[in-house]
Amino acid sequence: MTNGTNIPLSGARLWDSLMEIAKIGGTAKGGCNRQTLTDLDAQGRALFQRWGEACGLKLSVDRLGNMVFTRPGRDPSRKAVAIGSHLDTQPTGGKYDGILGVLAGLEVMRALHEAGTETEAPLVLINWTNEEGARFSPPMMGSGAAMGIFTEAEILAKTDSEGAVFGAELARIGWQGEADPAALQDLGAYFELHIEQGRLLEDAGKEIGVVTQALAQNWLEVTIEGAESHGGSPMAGRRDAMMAAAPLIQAIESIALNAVTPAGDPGRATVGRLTVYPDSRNIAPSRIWFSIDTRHHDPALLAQMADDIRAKAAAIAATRGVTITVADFWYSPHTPFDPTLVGHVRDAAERLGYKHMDMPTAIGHDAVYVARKLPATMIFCPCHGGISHNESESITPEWAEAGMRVLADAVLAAAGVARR
Amino acid sequence: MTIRFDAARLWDSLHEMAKIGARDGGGVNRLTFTEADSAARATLRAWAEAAGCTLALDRLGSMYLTYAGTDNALPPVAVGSHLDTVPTGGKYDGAYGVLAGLEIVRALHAAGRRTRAPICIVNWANEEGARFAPPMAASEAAMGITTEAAVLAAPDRFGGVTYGEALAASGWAGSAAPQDAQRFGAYFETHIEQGPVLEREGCDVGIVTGGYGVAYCTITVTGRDGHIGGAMADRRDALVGASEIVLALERIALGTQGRGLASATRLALEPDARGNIPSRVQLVASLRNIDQAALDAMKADLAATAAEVATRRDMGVAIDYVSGYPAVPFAPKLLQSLRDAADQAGLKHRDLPTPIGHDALHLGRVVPSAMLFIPCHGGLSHNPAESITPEWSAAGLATLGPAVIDTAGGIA
Repeated sequence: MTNGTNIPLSGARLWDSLMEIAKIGGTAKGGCNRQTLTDLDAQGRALFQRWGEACGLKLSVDRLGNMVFTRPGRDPSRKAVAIGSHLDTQPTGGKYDGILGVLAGLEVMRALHEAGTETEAPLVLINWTNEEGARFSPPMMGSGAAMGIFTEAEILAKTDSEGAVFGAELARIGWQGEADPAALQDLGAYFELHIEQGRLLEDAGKEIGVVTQALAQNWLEVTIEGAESHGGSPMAGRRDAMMAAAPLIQAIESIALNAVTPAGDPGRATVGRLTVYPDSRNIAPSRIWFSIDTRHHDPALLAQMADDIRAKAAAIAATRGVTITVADFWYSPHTPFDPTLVGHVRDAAERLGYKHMDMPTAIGHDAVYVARKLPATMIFCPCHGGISHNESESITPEWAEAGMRVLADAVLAAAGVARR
Repeated sequence: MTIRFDAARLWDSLHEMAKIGARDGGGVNRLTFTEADSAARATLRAWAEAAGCTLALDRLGSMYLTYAGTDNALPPVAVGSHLDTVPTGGKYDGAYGVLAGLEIVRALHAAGRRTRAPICIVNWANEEGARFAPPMAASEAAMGITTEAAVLAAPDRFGGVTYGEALAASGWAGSAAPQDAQRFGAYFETHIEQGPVLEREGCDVGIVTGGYGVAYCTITVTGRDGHIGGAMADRRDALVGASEIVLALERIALGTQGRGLASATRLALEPDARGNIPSRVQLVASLRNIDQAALDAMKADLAATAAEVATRRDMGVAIDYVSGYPAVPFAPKLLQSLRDAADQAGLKHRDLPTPIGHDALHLGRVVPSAMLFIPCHGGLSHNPAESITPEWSAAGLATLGPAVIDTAGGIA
C-alpha cells in the first residue's frame, strides 16, 4: 500500500510553481538572484505565503524570519512532521537549489488539501532564512539558530559586505516575526528534498538519492602577511604575499586529491573568497586573505587535510619570509540521518518504483543542523552535470516529480494518514 | 688640471634648498608651479647665474642654465633632474641631481675654467606628476614622445586649473622650444637610488645601465562555477588555474638571470563567495626586463604557459597587454666614463638598472644618456624620512664631476 500516491499530487503544478517563483530575481541567463533579505526575497516570501494560505495552511514567522506553515493533525498530542528547505539563492544561483524542497512540500500540502486528507501528526512546511550564506555568512543561519547552534543575537548582528546589518535588513523587508525559532526543536521529524548538486545520481542513472548522512565539513581562513614591494624591486628581496598564496592554493587542490579513502574517494577543497591588500597595480601585495572549505567522507581524513594545509602553509611561510595564519572558522561534524526516516524514504522509492541509491551529502543543508536536534533526513534528485550555484542549474520535470512523490510518501508514512 | 668639486658646498646647498617648502618632520612639499616651486626655481637661477650661467626657459617651464664652453658650436652636455617634489617628499629626490650639476659648474667657475663643450644644468618641470599626471611629461614632450599640447592640457589633481594655466600664473613659462633638448650631446642624471641595493651592498655609487621595459597586463582566467561540495574531478576552478599563472610569472622572472622582474599585484574573483568555486579570476600582472628582446621573450613564455594551463585545465586564459614602456639602455660610453671616474676616486660601485621612471629614460631614447645612483637609507623615498649621508653625496659628486667634464671635451 502506498501512503501518498492516492492524493492528487501534480508534477505539472509543482513545475509551474517552480517556474513562477523563478521569475522573482530571474536572470538573463535563466538563473535566479534572490539573495536573502533583499526586496526580491520579500517578493518570493509573499508569493509563498499566498500559495500556502490558499491551501489552508497557517503561517507563523519567527524572530529570524523563518516562515513556518502549519497544518493540524488529528492527534494534537503528536509532534509535527516537517518539510523544509529555502527560497533564497546565490547571486548567480539557479531555479531549483532549495526552492524544489519548499515547493514540493507545498505540493504535498495542496494535494492533501484538495483530497481533504487528514494526517495523524500535524504537518509543518518551512522556508528557512538565509540558507545560502552568500550575503550574510555563515550559511544556514535560520536553521542553525533555531537548533541552538547560533544565538539569535549573533545572527541579527551579522553584516554583509556593504555593512548592512542582518536584523535591520530583516525588519526593512517586513519579515521579522515574533515566534521563537527554538520552538522548532520540538518538531517530531524533518524531511528535506534537494537537488543533488553533484553527478552521482545522473551518472548512475538513478532518480532518487536516499541520503543517509552528512559529511564532515571544515572551513578555514588563511591570512598571509608579507611586505609590500614595488613592482620594479628585485625578485630576491621580496616577501610577496601573492607568491605565497599561489603555491598554497595549488597545494590545497593536491591535498584534497590525495586524501583518498581505501574505496578511492578523495576529499574536496575550495578557496572561494580572496582579498588582496593593497590591491594596487604597481605594488606586490603585503597581505592576502582567503577562505577554504574542506570536506570528506572520512572525518579522520578531513582532519588530516587541515593538518596538511597547515604544514604546507608553514613550509611556504618559512621559504618565503612571510607569516601565514590558518584559523578555524567553522566546523560541521559528521552527521548521520535518522535510520527510521531514511527507511521511510528508501521504502517510498522502492514502492513507487524509482531507481534509487543510498548516498551521503557532501554539502551543508538546513537538514544537517536540524538532524543535530531531532530525527531528520534528506532526499536527493539528480541535476544535470552536477551543476549548481550556477544560472545554468537544471533538472527535468520527471526528476522533480519523482522527488516530490517520494517526499509525500515518506512524510505520510511518518505522520500517519488518519482513517476517515 | 684637476677641478676641485666642493662636497660641503653641495651639502649646504641641498639643505638650503630643502628649506623651501619644508614641512614638519623633515620633509618637503614643493608641488609643481606652486609658490614653493617658484621660490626653488628662483634660488637655483640665482645660484647658477652667480656661477656664470645663462637661463633659458622652455614653453613647458623646464629650466636650462648654460655654462658656456670654449667651443659653443659643440652640442651641450646636460646635467639635470628636478626640483619639484611629491606632497610628502624628501630633501634629495631630484634636488640632488640638479644641485650636483650646479656644483660642477660652480667648481669650474671658481677655478676660472671652461670645458670645450657647454654644460647645461636642467631642471625638468613636473617630474613627479603629483600635481599634473602623468609624471616626467615635460622631458617626454621635449623628446617628441608626447605633444606639448597634451602636457599643457593636463588637469590639476587638486584644483580647477590646467598645467598650462598654472605654468603661466607662476611666471616660469618661457619661449624656448622643449624639443631643442634633443640637440644635447649627452645627458647625465644623478639620483638617489630609491631602493635598497647600494646600501645593502655597501656601494658608494651605482652605475645605472638603463631602464626596464615594462609590460602591464590583465589576465582573465575563465573556468566554471559550481557548488564547493562538488567532486574535484569535474571542476574548472579559475582560481587554481590563476595560481598556476602567478607561479609561472615568478618562474619566468627567475629564469632571466636577474635581468627580468614579474609581479602579480591584483586578483579579483567571481563570484567571490565561500560557497562557490571561482568561475572567473582577473589578475593584474607586470613583466619587466632591462632588455627589450628579453622582455618580448618573457611575454612569449607567459603566452605559452597560459595556453598550456588553458588546455590542461579546460579553461580560458586571456592575456591583455594594457600599457607599458620600452626598455631604454643607457649609452655605453657615458657609463664607462662614470665607472672610470668612480674607480679613479677609489669608490665602490656596481652596475644596476633603474626600476623607477626618471626623465633620463625619456632622454635616453633620443640623446646619449646615463644615470648615476647614490644610496639612500633603507631605500626610503617619497617620504619625509628620506635620507642620505654627506659621504654618499660626496661620492656621487666625485663620480659625476669628472665624467661630465670628460664628456664635455675636458678642461680647455
